[in-house]
Amino acid sequence: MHIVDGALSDSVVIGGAVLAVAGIAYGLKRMDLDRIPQIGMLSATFFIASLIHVPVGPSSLHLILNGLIGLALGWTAFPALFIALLLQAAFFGYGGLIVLGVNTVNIALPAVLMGLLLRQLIVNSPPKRAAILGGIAGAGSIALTAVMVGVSLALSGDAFIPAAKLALLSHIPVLVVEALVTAATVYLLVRVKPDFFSHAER
Amino acid sequence: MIFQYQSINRIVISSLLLVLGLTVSTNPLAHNVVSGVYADGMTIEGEIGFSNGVMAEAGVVVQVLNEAGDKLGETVLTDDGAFVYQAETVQKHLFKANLSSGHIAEMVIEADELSGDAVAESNNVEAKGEISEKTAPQNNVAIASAISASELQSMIRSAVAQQVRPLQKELRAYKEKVMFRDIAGGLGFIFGLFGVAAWMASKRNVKDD
Repeated sequence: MHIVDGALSDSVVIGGAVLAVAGIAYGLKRMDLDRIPQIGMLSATFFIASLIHVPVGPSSLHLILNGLIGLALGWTAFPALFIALLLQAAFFGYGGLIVLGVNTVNIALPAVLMGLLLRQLIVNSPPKRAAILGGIAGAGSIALTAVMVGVSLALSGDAFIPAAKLALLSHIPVLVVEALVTAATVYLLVRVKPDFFSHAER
Repeated sequence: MIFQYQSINRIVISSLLLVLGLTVSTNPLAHNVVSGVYADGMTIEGEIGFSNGVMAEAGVVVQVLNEAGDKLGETVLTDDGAFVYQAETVQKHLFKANLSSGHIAEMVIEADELSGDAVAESNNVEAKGEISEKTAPQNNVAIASAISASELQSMIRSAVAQQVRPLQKELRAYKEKVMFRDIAGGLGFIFGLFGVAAWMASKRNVKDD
């Protein structure tokens, strides 16, 4: 999920950086005082979630939670995820600093898209249907992220196409877990704090 | 809405402080016990002290257990907090010492850190076995030439591996510690950055009013 330095061609790195800056700028513009604590909390959640590795078969997986973050934050997911990714790269070497833009776009853009597509539906749904929609958001954002990782690698040269295919396949277990976790979280939030998603973006 | 977030903030901050307080208070009030144990052949040497540099008192009994928890024997600390134990079999050895007032030192020697001549053949230290077989029928002068360059290399390799093992372990423990600090540091950064963002946003709001 985190691409390292040197794996991508310059044009992909630059393109990713430009898109990331645009997304962050737009996200910051939409950030208002009331929501800053929530953005900070979800940024911290993403930072921590990537550190908890659960062994599955020969490899290990960790939660990414970008679907949930997208539902909760909308466009402000960009700055929230950027800061978490920056600190992960600086402290743990997860992903490179130069490809930070690409990584931010790959993780934040699917989050934003899922948020835009599904949030309003979740607000208008009873808890059970909201949970299913949450699951779709969780799985959908992982699938999109995997596709975007694959595309970033494929754009950088033919040799990376097998690697990109592998990235897609290896994310299937994450996709399932992420769908379940996001569904459960959305169900809880809709039951406990029904206005959570309706206040998400105004 | 603002009030609601403020109350959530207060809950978050107070729970963070609580967690912080709990982690601090679970540390022993006095000094942490620091201990180390090293194997040289079948002789196990260790030392126990406190993080302030004072070594443990002489006469403290160190229990020696195997992996299943059965007692293998015991030894006693000397003046400088050190102890020596002669292992009889190659297996995992656990050392436990109760230093009173809640201080317990626990050390482990893995089976692969022990190697005696008696068990060299069965152990993975093949080099030793080969050499003793080869040198046995020859006289002293021949011994030097009997150790070929490759045998010498593998001997050195196993000796170095033996010496480096405790260091590797320490390094692993250190990395874990640093990892925890980095996580805490990262979280601190995130809260700090969003704190600054909140402060700037509130200034902007005041200006707008």
